[in-house]
Amino acid sequence: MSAPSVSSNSLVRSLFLGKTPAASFLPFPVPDAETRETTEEIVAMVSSWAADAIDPAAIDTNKTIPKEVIDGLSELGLLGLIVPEEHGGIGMGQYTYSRVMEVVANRCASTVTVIGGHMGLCMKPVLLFGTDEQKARWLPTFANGETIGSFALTEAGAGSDAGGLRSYAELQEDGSWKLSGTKAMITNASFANVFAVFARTPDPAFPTAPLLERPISCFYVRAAADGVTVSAEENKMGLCGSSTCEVSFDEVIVPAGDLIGAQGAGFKIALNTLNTGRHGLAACCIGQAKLATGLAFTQATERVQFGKQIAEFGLVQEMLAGMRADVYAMEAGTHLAAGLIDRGESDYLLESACCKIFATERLWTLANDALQVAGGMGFMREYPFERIVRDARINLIFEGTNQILRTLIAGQGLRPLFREEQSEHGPSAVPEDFAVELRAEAERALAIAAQLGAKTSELAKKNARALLADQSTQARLSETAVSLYTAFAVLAKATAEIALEQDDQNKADLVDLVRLSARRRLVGASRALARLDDPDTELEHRVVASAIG
Amino acid sequence: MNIVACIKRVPATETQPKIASDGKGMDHSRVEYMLSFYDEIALEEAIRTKEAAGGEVTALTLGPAEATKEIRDCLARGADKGTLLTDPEWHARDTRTTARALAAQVTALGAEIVFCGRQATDRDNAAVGPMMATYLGWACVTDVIELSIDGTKGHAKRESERGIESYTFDLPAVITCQKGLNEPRYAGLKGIMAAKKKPIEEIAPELVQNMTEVLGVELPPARPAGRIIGQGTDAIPALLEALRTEAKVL
Repeated sequence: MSAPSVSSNSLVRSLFLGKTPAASFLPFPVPDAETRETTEEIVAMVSSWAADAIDPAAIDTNKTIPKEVIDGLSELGLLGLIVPEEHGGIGMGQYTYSRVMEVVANRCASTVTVIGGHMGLCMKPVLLFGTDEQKARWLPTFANGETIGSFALTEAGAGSDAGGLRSYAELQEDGSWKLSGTKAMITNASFANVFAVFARTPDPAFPTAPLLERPISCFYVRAAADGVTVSAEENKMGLCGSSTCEVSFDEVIVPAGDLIGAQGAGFKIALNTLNTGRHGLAACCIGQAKLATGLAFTQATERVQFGKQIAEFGLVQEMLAGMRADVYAMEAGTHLAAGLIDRGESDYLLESACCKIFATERLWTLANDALQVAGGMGFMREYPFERIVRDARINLIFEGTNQILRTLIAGQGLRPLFREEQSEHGPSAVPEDFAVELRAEAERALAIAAQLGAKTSELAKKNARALLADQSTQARLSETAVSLYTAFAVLAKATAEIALEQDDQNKADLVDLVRLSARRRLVGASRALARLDDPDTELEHRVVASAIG
Repeated sequence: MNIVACIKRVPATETQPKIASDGKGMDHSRVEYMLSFYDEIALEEAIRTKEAAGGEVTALTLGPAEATKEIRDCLARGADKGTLLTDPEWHARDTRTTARALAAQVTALGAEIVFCGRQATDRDNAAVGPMMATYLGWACVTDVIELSIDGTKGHAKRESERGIESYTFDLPAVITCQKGLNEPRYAGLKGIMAAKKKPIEEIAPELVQNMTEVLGVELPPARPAGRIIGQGTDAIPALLEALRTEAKVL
């Protein structure tokens, strides 16, 4: 019997096999002219509104987002951005969504969570899995802001491990459901009118299954229903204006029609929702990264020490250059994935995870560097630097911790090796596919990709079982893949931009920026690969084991 | 009511102006443009007038082909159609040439009321609106901060150095709009999508010769660097002295 064949256009999956299918990132995807024009008009409008209507410092200090801001999001029609026209929205795709998330995040990280929780998470189950009747009933009210949504998946005992979910719903004789459970750290909780709640439901094929073995289903539960209690706001380190509460459901009756998707399909619904949600989060990081970068450059050119602008000092330049290089790379990775999503690729799970890991970690470093450039002033609440740092911290945790996502990427990437699946890839990229100015970086990226394939295959042959249980090795393989995915995104985006640039000086500036951006990613990839042979892993295990007894 | 809002494409507020190589104007390469601030108020008043009295709003401008972007912005906010008097040399026209071309088109459109910004934020001439009214032989109230239209009669308040002046006038009229008259709306997503279906007419205007000629343009001199006179309370006498003798503000 021949091995099963997996056809995938996923660059990240291919990287684990040492392949770089050119069609997965070249030419760099660009939306059609009309989408571009519409997106620019929307972004300009939202940017000018956000500058007038949102006061990020006041939102942070007062720990609340004024009602007028949330009403403003509705009045502008922003909450219907991705809702199809027939349901009251304007039906834009992931590229436009990510640009809008970026521009709102550029103004205020707390405010953008309202859109993320509502449109990026709560609305998705009905958008992706709802019946026509459910779409007609829910989407128009989501789009016009009459209903503000919240996504209720996490529980105290079910964070990274959704398998620990204990909320449950029982089918009533009249077809409705009786739902009970407590959800933790729920975004938008205090003002949402509806919660997308994930709860265990009976398995018709195995009615006596213990609770934790029952399948999960997704319900829309109205906040006004009897038995729904929203607790006081959590006291958080960052995103202080956003609403985060515990929400408990005590025998809440949910009408039959508000089970979203099939009974038992909840896990799949949650995964699909988080998949695009992570991509949106990466876009938010771009917005905050641009904010921090702009502030750092202003500071570095205005602040004079030892008789010159601090921007003239090498160690400050190292930080400033890194910021610009990282912002370029964050955009490249995120917009490459947006292009895949918008052209209808179904397999972007790993690309989305790469975007989330890369953007959240680069923003964290970049925000700290911006604060460093500002010096002691950056530590003062009077200035925005420390707020950006506080707001950036949660990104490494929510929508899948970066550790969990690294094991997810490796687990998925290694699958063909364990299952002896034959994967089909289009022809791999060659150095000539890239702008001539970037040939050296392209050759190096292709060489590291080949090394990753060889190393992965060697490890799988040596001891597949050990590899499956070894998070450290998985994380290093993933790290190499994340860096390579981003490097190829940078090289592809830059190749397209260099070809279009007419002005010699602009072109030279662009080449400098993208070479720096690509080289930093390649250093990251090489380091992660080199750490595969790192003897410290064994020491780390032993040091922790001896401490915990 | 047949309503026209005259708008202008101007360099965005954050633009750092550079002088063109001939020294007679601005270098227009790499400049981002936007709708002039006071024209946003004019457009808003035009839309509010339509919402109160019915009718149609035309956004009218003299500009390059790219000015469809600013017209599209007006359509997204609620204007019904746009007219672009296409002129690649728009930035070199003097106020009289511009006013004559706009007045001719206002007549062709059959407008009953025209709203302009009090001035464009690039040259700050504050002249095109009143000149247009003169060519049309219409009433004109400038710097309007309050307006009501009742049939064919209008009531306006304008701000002047002497205080608030109140006027009444008969339509047709030209109104130039001052900050405070209204709070311009944002287009919104629906508006942006609706604008795509609204018509923009592009017309090659008949233009008269300029009566003024630009001889040269210079940037203002760079501001001298600040000076730290001293530290703490000991420095106050020296500071007072400098404010009296150097800055001459005391």
